[in-house]
Amino acid sequence: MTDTPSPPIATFTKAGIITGGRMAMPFMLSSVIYGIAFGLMAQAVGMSNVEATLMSALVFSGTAQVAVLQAWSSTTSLIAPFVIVLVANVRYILMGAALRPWLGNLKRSQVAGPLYFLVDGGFALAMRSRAAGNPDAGVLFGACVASYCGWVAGTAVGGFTGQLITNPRAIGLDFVVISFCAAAATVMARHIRDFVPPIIAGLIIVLLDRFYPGPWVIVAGGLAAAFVGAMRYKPSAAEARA
Amino acid sequence: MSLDTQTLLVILVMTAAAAFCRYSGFAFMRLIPMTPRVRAGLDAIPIAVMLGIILPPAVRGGIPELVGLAGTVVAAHLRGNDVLAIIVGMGSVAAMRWLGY
Repeated sequence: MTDTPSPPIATFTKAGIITGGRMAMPFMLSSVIYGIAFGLMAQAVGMSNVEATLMSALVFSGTAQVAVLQAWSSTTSLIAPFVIVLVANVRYILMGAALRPWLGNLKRSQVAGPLYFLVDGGFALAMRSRAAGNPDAGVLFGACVASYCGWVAGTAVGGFTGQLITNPRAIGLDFVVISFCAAAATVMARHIRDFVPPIIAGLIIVLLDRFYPGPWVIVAGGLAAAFVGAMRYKPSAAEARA
Repeated sequence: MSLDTQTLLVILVMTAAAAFCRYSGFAFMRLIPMTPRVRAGLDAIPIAVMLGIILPPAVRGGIPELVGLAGTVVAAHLRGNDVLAIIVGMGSVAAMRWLGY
């Protein structure tokens, strides 16, 4: 087993973008279906198709958009939607920080794209690809953009379709991104040398979810892992790397 | 074909919040020197974030989700194929729900 934290300098290539896009196909399909469902929901609260599609194109955040829709008619304040999106997306702050060691050397213009389109499935896919030794950040960009295109196209279509997909849960569609992350984590686990941080993170996540469920559960787990990982770092590993 | 001003404002505010979340973590880490120890901490985050996405629905959902998760992990471990792992996971969740669990 080799020391994994010795990644080569990050690259950003067209080939990587294509690879990422291709690998993202499984969860891109679920983005389409959920985009359709969101389009229908938006129509139900009185949004026009243009508005719904514009929202998906700019915000690109399924859970946050659905949460804002649920509060749609009850408030006209701008603070509520801002806070809802912030809380629902707080995990991206952590993902961005975790991307720094990989993307830190890239040009700003190359980082801007992958970060704007950052999404769970694309992050999982890219992190696994990197753990397997591929330094190409194009993979991250391609996978996230594929998911993005599915989400926006789905939203646009959703306004036109009738109740085509009445219950995505019945066919397990709510499980696609979870399943994808689990598959990526399984493969990535082969490259982990220290299992203590993820185990502690997992315990905190399950416990916290039991008493205070919400998007912050992800952040608490990530911060705990980062803290434990940093504390347990031994300089000898760095010498072996150099 | 209509675009209400109030709705447009809401969308722009949401866009700002989402973009802030996506950019701020990366931008903030620019200020922190990338020592090996900081790096080790950051490198521990991705798996933990994935666990945060996977575990709550699996533990809360019940039998279909746990079976689906087990199926996904086994398929991914044995074959390393995403599409297969997702089909196994989704299929077992759907089947268990159909059976009424």
